[in-house]
Amino acid sequence: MNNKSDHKKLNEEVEQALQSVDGIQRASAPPFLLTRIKAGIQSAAERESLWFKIASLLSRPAIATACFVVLLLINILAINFTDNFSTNSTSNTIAQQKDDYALSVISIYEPETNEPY
Amino acid sequence: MSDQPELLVSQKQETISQDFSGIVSKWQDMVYNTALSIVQHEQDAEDITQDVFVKVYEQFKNFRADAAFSTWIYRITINTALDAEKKKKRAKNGGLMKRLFNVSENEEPVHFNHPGVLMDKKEQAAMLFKALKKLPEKQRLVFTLKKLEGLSNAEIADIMRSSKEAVESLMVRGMINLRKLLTSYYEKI
Repeated sequence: MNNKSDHKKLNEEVEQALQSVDGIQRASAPPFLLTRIKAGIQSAAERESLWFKIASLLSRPAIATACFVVLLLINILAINFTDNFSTNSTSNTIAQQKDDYALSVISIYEPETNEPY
Repeated sequence: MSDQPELLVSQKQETISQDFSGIVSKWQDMVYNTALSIVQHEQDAEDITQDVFVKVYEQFKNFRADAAFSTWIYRITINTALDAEKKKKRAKNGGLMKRLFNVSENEEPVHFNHPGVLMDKKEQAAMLFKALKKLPEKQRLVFTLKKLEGLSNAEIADIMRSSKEAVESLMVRGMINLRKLLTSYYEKI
């Protein structure tokens, strides 16, 4: 008997909960919503600008990492190329100076004779 | 649901910004109330309302006259609210640092009190909203639109791009599930 009345009470509570939103009033939007919306529209328009798009694209981790790697490779290649170029040009200059100042004579003690041995 | 879509559609893009405040003042309560009923969080509902009107402003030129303006704005509101809810859930579940340091910011309130509920029914309504959160998405939406927004099955079917029969079926299943959930809650008390 007690169990039956408990069950009935439970059902009543459930029904009351289900009917609790009957006749519910609409919640009113907060004041100054229009101002917030206008600010939102403005910032959305700014987000649409080209520079903002470029900046947001570059700030993506994958793009930023890729750009960093490319820059690093360009730097490495540039350093290598400069090293080779400077080594070649230095050896060319030395060879030219050797010719200009007749530095082909290796030693002053070297016998200079035109006669055949 | 006393909207005049033909009047709104005939407005040109230039006049939209001028009339936009009129659109906002006409629909803001509906958007806010729907968002609030879905996310059950006042601050989030405010943010969603703002996002909805920004989208309305941006997409007004894409609005097709074959749908009522109210249907269109309801769809935007529901999608925005559901997206925000999913985003929040992801942020709550994810975040290794949060889990490591056991940061518990922005905790959900235990009981949500809808401001439109009568004073003497607040407690029961809080239980109902708690149970509503546990319902499958479509059942929850149908219940929200029917009971909290007072829409007809035909209007809900339009909004959800579904049939009236499907809406009725979702409502019946939703009520069965709500009864089960509420019974289990009251049994624990």
